[in-house]
Amino acid sequence: MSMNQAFRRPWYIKTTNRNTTTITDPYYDVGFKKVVVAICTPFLEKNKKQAVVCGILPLNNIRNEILDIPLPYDGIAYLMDRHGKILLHPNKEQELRNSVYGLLTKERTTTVNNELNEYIFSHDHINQSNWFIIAQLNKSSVYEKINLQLIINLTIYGLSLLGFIFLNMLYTKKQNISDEKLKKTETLLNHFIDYGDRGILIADSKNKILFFNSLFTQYLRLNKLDINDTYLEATNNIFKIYDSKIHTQIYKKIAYAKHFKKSQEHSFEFIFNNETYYFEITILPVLSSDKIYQGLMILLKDATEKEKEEIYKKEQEDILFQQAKMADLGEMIAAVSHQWRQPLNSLSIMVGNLLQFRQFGRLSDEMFEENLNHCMTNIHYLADTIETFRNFYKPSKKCQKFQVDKAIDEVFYIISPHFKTLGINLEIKKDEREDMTCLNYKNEFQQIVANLMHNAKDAIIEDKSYSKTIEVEIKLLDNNFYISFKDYGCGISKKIENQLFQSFATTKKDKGTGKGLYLSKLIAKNKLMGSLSIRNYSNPTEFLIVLPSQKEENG
Amino acid sequence: MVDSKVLNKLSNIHVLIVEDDEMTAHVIHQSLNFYCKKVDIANNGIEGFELYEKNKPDVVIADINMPEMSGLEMAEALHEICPHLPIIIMTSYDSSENMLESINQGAYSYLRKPIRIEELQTALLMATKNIYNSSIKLEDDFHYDCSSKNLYDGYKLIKLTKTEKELVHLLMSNINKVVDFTTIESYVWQEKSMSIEALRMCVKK
Repeated sequence: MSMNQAFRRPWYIKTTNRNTTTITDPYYDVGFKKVVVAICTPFLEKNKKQAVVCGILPLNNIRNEILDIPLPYDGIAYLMDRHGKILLHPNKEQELRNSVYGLLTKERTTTVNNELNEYIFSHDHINQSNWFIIAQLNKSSVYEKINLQLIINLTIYGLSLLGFIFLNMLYTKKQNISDEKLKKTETLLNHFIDYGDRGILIADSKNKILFFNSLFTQYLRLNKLDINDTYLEATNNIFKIYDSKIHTQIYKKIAYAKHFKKSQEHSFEFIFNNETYYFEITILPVLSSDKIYQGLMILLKDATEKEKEEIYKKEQEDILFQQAKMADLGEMIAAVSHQWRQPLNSLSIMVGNLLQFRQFGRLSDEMFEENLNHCMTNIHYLADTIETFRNFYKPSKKCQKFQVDKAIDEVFYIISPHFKTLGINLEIKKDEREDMTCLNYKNEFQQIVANLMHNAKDAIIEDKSYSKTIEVEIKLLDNNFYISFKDYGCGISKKIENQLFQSFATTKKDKGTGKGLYLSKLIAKNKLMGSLSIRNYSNPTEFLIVLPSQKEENG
Repeated sequence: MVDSKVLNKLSNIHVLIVEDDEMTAHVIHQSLNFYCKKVDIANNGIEGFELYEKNKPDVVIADINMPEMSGLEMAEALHEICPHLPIIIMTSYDSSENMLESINQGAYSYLRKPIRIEELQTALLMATKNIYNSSIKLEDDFHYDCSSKNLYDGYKLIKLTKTEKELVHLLMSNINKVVDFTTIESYVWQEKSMSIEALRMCVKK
């Protein structure tokens, strides 16, 4: 193509005129022998036009691109120039004719939707050209779809509406129920405040009394008018039923309420009409979420019954201890008298002999001396015995060092006259290498041991066929002595297993008072800081004493 | 106070003391040895039983609570071989069980420790009265002297063999009682077995 020819070409002229990228109308190119469009852009250097670069695209290529655009509602897409001439159309017959829509396009450069006859058109301008892409949709088919959609939408809407109404009704009902609940709660709360078993008073941070219920005034024997709209102060005499000492104490607690982290409970007694009443006073500081003191609540509870029960229980325990003491005393006297019987017997006969021989004039100096010496020996023995017993039964004032195995031996010695005649013996098993030294209350420990031995003896003598040995095993583990007592006697019946350590439980019908194990356990726990428990109920019957080897004095 | 004249009645009596407490045994021995013919001491029931079989004392004083064999168990065994033997029980364990058992075992007396020596002497005198009150009157002018173990017809002594003597003594000691066959066998014949014929022959005479 010669340069002259090119200058006269329509694309050159058009591009030069517009001085921007330009797409030409389609034209028949003789070189290609095809309908083509030219896309040209001017080549600029230092803002001066130097040349025009041009690309030629066969129209058929574009046709395929455009006609392949899929459209719904039986729609078709075609290309049109600004004069309304159809450039490309799926139906080839329509090409180069004027489009029915073409004349209507007034807005040439923007996307517009329009309706015409039975079609809906939508066109879009292609940049840098005179071309428009037209989308033509079949009206009836569009509306058909739209109607269906509408019906579906309407149905959905209707259902939603129904649902909404239903939910709304439900919600309203729920609201009603919770309202009712709230009301009920409020009523109950009022009932609780008015008729509960606690007196309530609420005061703010400045101790102004905000609220109190009738029980509060009733409990403290006040008139409602006395404290209405007053302050929680000592001058108000709110706690006038208590004597001044307790009075001050209560106000002290109230004053300190600000510093409390949790509620404080105290029980105070007062006497009214010669009867003693107890009230549990709970002072409850009210704090906001950021722990700032907002005020306080005082709760009063009639604890008279509870308190009296406690006192009764304490009294019963005291009686029990008293009984135990008496029993101990009786036991001691029985043991002493038993221990004394034999030496007293020989003393009696010795002295009788001296007298008789003297009377018959047959008393030799030799016999006189011999008998008196025997008498002295016996008297010393009697004195020693009573000393031993006295030490055994008196409570230890403080912890002392002792050998555990020796202490058990001593117990056996004290009760041995009993045991020897019954043929019962004691077998102590221990690790010889272990140090048996213990710092604890010796006598209390020995009393528990004596009690267990007596029980074992009673079980053994039930029948002659039982083994007559009481087995004691001592083990030292982590600063605790574990001392087990085993006997193969009659055992403990199932019936009383559960109440073995309770007061007044006994296996021995009329013989036992049922305090032995109860008190032993109490002593083991409270005084020795150890424990007493049963390991096995029969064959062998086994009890276990845990004895701390170093009892802390202040414990 | 028991008079020495009364105590002299015990001069023909042989006593066995069964007591585990040495001092007690010693002082009782000291007292009894003064007026009795002989006093033996045993320390427990088994020893007591053996000593009885060996020495055949007239009376036994026994404690109840002793090792090996109690006084009551021993009394039961002794009464099996010699039903008429007087046994005096002493105890420091005064319980109704002990007392009841003493009665059941036919104890002659029951003494609570500490005992007074006079009490023991009295019991001893009463227990052995059949022995020193020797003469037992029988039918047809017959009488029996227990201490010498002789049988008289009027003033005439009836001569008896050793076995006959033992048999008569046994029967006289248990006068007004029935003596069973085994008792006769063990007392009169002792270890030798006795045939019923031998007994018949003996009785016929």
